[in-house]
Amino acid sequence: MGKVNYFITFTNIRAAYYTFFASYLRTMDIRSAEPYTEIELINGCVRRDPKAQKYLYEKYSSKMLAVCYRYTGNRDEAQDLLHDGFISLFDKIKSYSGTGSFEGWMRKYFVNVSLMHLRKRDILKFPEDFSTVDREISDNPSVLDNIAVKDLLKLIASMPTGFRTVFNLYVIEGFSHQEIGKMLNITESSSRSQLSRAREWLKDSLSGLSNK
Amino acid sequence: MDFDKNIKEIIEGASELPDSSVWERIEGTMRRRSRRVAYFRRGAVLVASAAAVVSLFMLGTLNLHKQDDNHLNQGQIAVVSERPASAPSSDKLSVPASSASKVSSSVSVSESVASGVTTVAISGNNNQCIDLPEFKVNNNLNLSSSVAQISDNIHLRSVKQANNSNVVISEIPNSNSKAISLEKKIKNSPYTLTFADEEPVKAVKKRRISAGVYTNISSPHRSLAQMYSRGFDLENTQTFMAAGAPYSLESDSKYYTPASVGVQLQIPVAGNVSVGTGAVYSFLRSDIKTTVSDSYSYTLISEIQYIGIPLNLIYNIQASRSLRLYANLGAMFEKGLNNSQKVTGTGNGDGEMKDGIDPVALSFNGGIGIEYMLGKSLGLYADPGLSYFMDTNQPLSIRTVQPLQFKCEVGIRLHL
Repeated sequence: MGKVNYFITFTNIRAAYYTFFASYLRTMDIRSAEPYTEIELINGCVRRDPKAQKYLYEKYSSKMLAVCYRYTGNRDEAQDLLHDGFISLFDKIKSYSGTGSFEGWMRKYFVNVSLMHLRKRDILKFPEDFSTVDREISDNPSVLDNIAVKDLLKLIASMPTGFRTVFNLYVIEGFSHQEIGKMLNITESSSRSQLSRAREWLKDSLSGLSNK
Repeated sequence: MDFDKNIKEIIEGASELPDSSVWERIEGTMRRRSRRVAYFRRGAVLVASAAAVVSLFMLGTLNLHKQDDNHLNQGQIAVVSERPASAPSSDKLSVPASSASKVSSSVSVSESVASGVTTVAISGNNNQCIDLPEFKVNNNLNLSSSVAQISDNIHLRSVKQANNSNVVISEIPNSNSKAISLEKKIKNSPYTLTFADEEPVKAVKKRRISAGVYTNISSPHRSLAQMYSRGFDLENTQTFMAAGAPYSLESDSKYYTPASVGVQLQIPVAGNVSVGTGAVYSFLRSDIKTTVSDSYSYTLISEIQYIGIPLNLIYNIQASRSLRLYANLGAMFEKGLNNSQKVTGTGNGDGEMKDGIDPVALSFNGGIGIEYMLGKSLGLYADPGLSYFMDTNQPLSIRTVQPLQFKCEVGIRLHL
């Protein structure tokens, strides 16, 4: 490290030291692949360091846009949510517990932002008279084999709002019907029927795609 | 279900590249917000300092005639007012009887008329400021019809005109004479002359050397970052609450008020404009304490020293005998001398590392300054202003955390 002299013996908690030295290695212009460790990046954003904020955006914006996109179904709207979400995230990043993956936390944050948006636009009203039609469609995993991630994302985004929301929350975010019911203010059975219809819709569309 | 699982796997890795305009919008919003916060925080300080400077300046110029410096330079003046197109020469200058009482006993006023010129002679060795009686002039006094003469140790300090006629003050050609000529033509326009006992202040020479000690009084900056084990709370449900394992990380950053000492030479270039340059030494310290857990924390003490060359343009806005108001605008080029980072941790030994700093740190500054003359060639000055530190890849300090800073330079200036 050239003229850098360390008189420190790294005993335990090496990682903690690394966290702090990494920022100073950066000032010494020693280029490392990752300019920030995760803790450093979060700390930087808490301090409102513009560089850290920009890095956080660069690192996660594509994934978070995909989250917003699959809830709104509209790319422009999703980009607006991405903007609003990051602005409020920079305020609230200090509430990150430090447990669990940071990316997972951010994902949840943007799911929440998207849901609030949908709620604001009052499009989360579901007809309650759905009968639980669980028409069994044979699982054909092969339909998913040849589909590009982008196309699948597009397909989910193009689902009707009700289907899309429940499908996203249940299948991708992993909530139970009971939880979804509470979140969207619908009955559990309504959530169930929305989901099965969504699955049906998606499978039909997928087979349509693969038949083409 | 396999179908769900497969979809989840695919979709979780999905990404969609946002347009570049999104970040530009975010950046714009963040910048506007931080600017608002900064202005709010500094607004009070700025308003207070501006008010202080303005009131000081007004106080200083309150009783001083704007044209003071001209006659102070010579100790003698001529007051000339506009001459009418046709001026009958039948005028008479009269010292009102009542005005005699205004003159101190040690000063005598006499009036004589010779070859059509009325001369008022004032003599005495008064050591105090005295008021000369108001000269009442009858209709259309001829130009140069009245001359007031004073003795050697009395010097004119100010001329005040009672009505609205224009008065031009000019030097008397014969500099050895202590005479004041009062030339006026406008009827009923009495003048009040005030004499001072002091020696006239010499003309302020233009070359100025200033030796200043100054500090940047930008408030120390503190930021506290905390991460604690509480899950993210989704608005309507508790299920997002992460099961929090005990974990906490706290970072407490303290940036001390930066201090600077410098010497500066100012050289006039044209009219009211001077150029200033010199050398400035600055010292910055920050303490960053990171608490990883109850049993483990470490503190980083960062000390950075800079030596810099300022380059300033100074514009003299207004000057009176005892006060001077000016504006300055400039840049500073600095080189880091020493960048020392000391770490003290609990139970893990202390450490220190030193490193170089990128050669040139650039900052811009501007502000107004006020100087109070303590004597003929010694002035006390204060330059409040703002500095902006450019991003030149400098190590972490108050300058990188808070690039826009309020500063106040206080010092002594020698006029050579």
